[in-house]
Order: sequence, then C-alpha cells, then structure tokens
Amino acid sequence: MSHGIWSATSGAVAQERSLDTVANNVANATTTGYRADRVAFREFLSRAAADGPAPEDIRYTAVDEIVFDDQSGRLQQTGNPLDLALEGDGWFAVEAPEGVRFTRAGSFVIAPDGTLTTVDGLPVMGRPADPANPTPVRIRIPDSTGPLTVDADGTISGTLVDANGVQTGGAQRIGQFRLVRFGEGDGLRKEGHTRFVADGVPEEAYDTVAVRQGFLEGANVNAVAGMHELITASRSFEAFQKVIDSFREIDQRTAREVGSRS
Amino acid sequence: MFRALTTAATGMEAQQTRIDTTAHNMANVNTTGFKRARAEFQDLLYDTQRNPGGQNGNGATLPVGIQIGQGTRLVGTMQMHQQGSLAQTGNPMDLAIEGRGFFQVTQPNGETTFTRAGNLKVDDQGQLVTVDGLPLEPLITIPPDAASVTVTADGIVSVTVAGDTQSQEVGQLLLATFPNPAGLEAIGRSQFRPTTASGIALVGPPGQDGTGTLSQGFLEGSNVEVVNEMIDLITSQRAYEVNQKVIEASDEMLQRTTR
Repeated sequence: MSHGIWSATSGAVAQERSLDTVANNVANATTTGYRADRVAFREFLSRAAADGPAPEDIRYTAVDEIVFDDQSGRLQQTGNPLDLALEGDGWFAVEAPEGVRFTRAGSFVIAPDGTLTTVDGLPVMGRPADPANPTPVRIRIPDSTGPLTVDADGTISGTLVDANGVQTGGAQRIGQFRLVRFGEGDGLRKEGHTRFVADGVPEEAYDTVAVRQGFLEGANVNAVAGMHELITASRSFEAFQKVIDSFREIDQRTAREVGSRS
Repeated sequence: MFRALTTAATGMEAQQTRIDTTAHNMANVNTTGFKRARAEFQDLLYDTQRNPGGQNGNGATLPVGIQIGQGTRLVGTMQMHQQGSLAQTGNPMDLAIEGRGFFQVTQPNGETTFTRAGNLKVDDQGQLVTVDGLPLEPLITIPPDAASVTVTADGIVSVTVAGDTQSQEVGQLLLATFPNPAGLEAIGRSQFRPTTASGIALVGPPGQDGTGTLSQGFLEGSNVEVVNEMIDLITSQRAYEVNQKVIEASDEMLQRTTR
C-alpha cells in the first residue's frame, strides 16, 4: 500500500481542526474582549520501514499549536460608567472559584453586597498592596454612592451621598483595579467565558495600559481573514480528499491488475 | 462529527439575539425616554488537547498549546443609558432630564419604578402623573385654578393662579440616580425597576450630584441612533452569513468524507 494516503489523511484532519477554529472565531465575532485563535501546522516524520532495504519516511502534518491573536479589538463607545476598555498591554484580574483569572472584557456590574463583578458574577480584583505576593482585594461600591468615575490608571471614585441624596463631600477614592501584564513564559491561555489563565505571576501594568471608561473592547476577529481561512480549510480538505481518492484508485488498480497477471 | 457545525450554530444564535435586540431598539426609535439595549456575549469552554507548558517528544517545553473553542453564549442584555436628544415641544407639562437622573413613579401596587419619560399630565385630582396615569413621587398637586405652571431647572414647580400676578410654589420634583444604571431592569412602558446589579436609588433635587437638570417644554427622545443600529444590523447579518458559510463548508467536507 502507498504510504502517501496517510499523509493526505493527516492533512485532511488538520484542516478539520482549522475549520473548527475558524468556526469559533466567527461565532465570537461580537463577543466583548474575545481574542481570535490562529492554527499553526507542523510536519512530522515517521520512519515507516526503517528496517527495510530502502528506508522510507512518511510525512505527516498535524496541528502544532493554536495561539490567540494578541491585537486589541476595536473600542466601542457605550457611555455606561461601568463599561471599561483597556488600551495597551494589560488585563483585568477576576476571582474565579478555581483561582485568579484574567480578562479584557470590562463590562462590570455591582453585586447585591456592593462588590464589583463581571457580567457572570465573579468579583473583579483591586490593586494589592504587595504586587509580588497578591492577596485578593475586592472593590466594594458603598451603598450611598453617586456617579462613578474611573481614571486611566484604574482608580475608581464616586461621590458619597446621605440617605436624602445630599452630597457629603467631594469625590472619594473607592479603589483601584488590579491591572497586570504577562511575559513570554507565563503560558497565558484561554479558559472560556472570555477569561484567561496563566502559570506565572504577572507584573503590574499601570504604565503600559490605560482604562477608558464608557467604552468596551470588541472581538479582534477579522471577518475577511475568517472567510479566507474558511475557504482555505475547505478547499485544502477537498484537495486532500482527492489525493486520498487517487491513492485508493492506485491501490485498487494495483490489486486488480498486478493480481490478475500473476 | 465536525465540531465546527455546532460552534457555528451558537454563532448564528448569538447573531439572531443581536438582531432581535436591534429590532426592539429600532421599533422604539421614537419612544420618549427609551434607552437602547445591548446583548453581551462570552466564548464557551475550550477543548484543551494539549496544555501550553507541556512537553514534546524530545523533552522540550512547548510555549503554546492546542485549545479548540466551541462557540459563544449570551450572558446578558444591558440597557445603555446615554442621553437621548432633546426635542422642543412647547408643552409646559413636558419635562426632559439633562443628566443621569430618573423620575420616580408609584405603581398601583405601591412599588416605586423609574422613568426618563417626562411627558407628564395632570389628572382629575390635579396630581402630576405619567402618560399612563401613574403619580410621580413626591406627589405634586396643581391647583385647579392654575393658569400656568412653571418648572425650574432644579425642579421647583410653581403655578400662577388666574387673575394673580404672583406665582406660588407647589412642590419640588426629585430625581433618582443609580451607581450602575446599566443594571436596571426594563419592565416596559418606559419604566425601569432597580435590581441588585443597578445599586440602590439615590434621590436628590435636580441639579445636584449628577442628577441632571430639568428642561420644561422639552422631551427626551430615545437614545437610539438609526445609523448605529443599521451598522449593528448589517454586521449581525454578515456575521450570521459567515457562520452559515462555516456550516456549509463543514457540510461539504462531511459530504466528501462520506461519499
């Protein structure tokens, strides 16, 4: 049998993975803070008949890695005081049940006890006193708070008012968001729900990122690139199928014709 | 089976929700005090086939892994509380709020709800009511012999009785603000109900602490921008199409495999 059929099969499987990734990107074209995935393929060698008279290599292809595109998405103005977009290299930190997670989706709400949380209810972390050994700090909005403002460095402040709605002093500092960034070896990866998880301890990112109040960061999915990848994946898949068909034909013919003459 | 089929289906569902939201916004383009809604999405859990930081056959640590996503899901719809444009009506009972405040309305069951729609009326008992006949809180009564009603920017309502030159003060309108107006629940009829996400209503006189000032003879239109909604409609439709193309492509690939 021809070994080439295995190479073509591995190619078809790899293109299927590629299509799965394109599908996820376009499905999340309108997800706040979503990062598009890219597939990278790699050639693998397998020594099939090393002991034979003429060693023959089979070349496989497989998905080597899927990396997310780190470009920022487009900022969209929403005008909501608790819609926060990050400009530059940095992430918000949230307290998930499994540990600290990171996100760029800054669409926050206030929980019943005044804690600032994500849309799905995870507390957003405040700036810890010691960045090297961060203990979780939550941001609590006091009950009697008027309009909230968030500065570029993530400081959140509001005016306190009494029960009758009368202002009791100027703008009060309520807290500051924990803003972090990652290096190469931190293994930042997706976890779903627009959250990311990392192995390393991130460093503070107050000098590389700015918070923009009243904006949200859209997905960085490019529809044209998505269509291009989609066409490439389906056409390559088709081509691999043709190759598989040809090998099948060759094998059939070999079996029939060579077999009939002997 | 191809994961891409179900992934693209979640994408189509998401775009459908977006179009539903856009349709609702567009339908209310001329509704006084209407606030546009927005759908919020998140990506679904990932199928991790190889973790970053794993090792390859040669013992080298791999910097990135293989994670394949499975689509998107709706996490919530939010109201966008930007200011709507003010339109002059000349009607003294039309009040527009310039700022973040809300009028407080007492529902028949005693519950207090909030609205930005300031197209007020005077009912048979002389009380200031909404266009649905629900009284405002605090209650303001206009005497039956009032010839004209004046509302100042800070909410003081005064009337001039026929034949009298002096105007007399009959009350002051108060406005409520919320730390997170996006968390308010829209209950229809241009009314909003506070939720745990919106925070507690803080009541104050207009013009103080960000409540906003009142403009008599004006109404606040909806904050729906037709152009923006059209753009949303087009992007949703195109995103829907792209997801559909993914389904077509997966279907074609499947057909080829099974043939």
